[in-house]
Amino acid sequence: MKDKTMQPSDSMEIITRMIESRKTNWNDNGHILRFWGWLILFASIAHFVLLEFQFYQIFWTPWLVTIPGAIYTFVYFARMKKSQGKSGFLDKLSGFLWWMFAFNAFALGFGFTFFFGHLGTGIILILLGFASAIDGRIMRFRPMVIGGLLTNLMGFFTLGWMLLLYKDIVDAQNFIILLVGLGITLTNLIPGYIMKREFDRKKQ
Amino acid sequence: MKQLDPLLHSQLRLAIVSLLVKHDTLDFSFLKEKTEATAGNLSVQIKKLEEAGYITVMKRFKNNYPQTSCQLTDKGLNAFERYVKTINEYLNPKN
Repeated sequence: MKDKTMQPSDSMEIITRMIESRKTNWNDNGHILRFWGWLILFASIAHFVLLEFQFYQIFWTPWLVTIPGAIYTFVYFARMKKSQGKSGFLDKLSGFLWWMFAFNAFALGFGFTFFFGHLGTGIILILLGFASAIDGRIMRFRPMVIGGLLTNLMGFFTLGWMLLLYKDIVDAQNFIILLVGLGITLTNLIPGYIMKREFDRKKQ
Repeated sequence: MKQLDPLLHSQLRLAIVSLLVKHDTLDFSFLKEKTEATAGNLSVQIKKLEEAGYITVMKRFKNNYPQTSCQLTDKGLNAFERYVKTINEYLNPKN
């Protein structure tokens, strides 16, 4: 780009081109998306298995993997920010959205569900779907928006189901935790692998 | 019709400021890649924007290599907003 004066229409064209220099607002291979997808899928399956085998004292322990997961995510993004040399408002917004979700999910998971069973699971699914759909919109990445909306709906159905039939489906409750695994598959794993495929294709 | 800010009314400087509006902090190498400018020209234009107080330039060392990054100041952001408003008036003059 040379440095020369221009017409007003040229100015607008430059501003638009620079601000929308990417059609999408994501520029990685979705590693963290898939990382959390597998982590939460593992935790939800392990939780289900422990409940099925009646380990009622320790069924929640698989969720402790989220703590090292959060530390790894923090370090990963700090390194990426350093190496890429940029830090955008949208990246910060997206990060803040997920840290807020993590705080809420943690509080609900370790607090609410202890007293109210899987009602908390329904709310976590609603929040997961909500955060994912918003982040997908921020990144202009449709698979994540779709996964988020589906998970959000699934959360409402779960919550409604638990509220309406709570006393009648005690035996079925163990299966509810697997819905978190299904939700994370929709919001993270499927979009994460689509993102990786598109990223690899762009790089070629 | 208002006068366009001469400091922003140049392709490269406008591109730099537009990129900084989107990303608060950018490395020299990122700006160079996106604007497709030469390092020398980019340095000169960054210096002009810095002297006007539109951006701040930070120099540090990363893995023993000097690294320059730029950040838009409030003054720069206000100037950019005024510039866009004036450009819009040029493009869509009111009767």
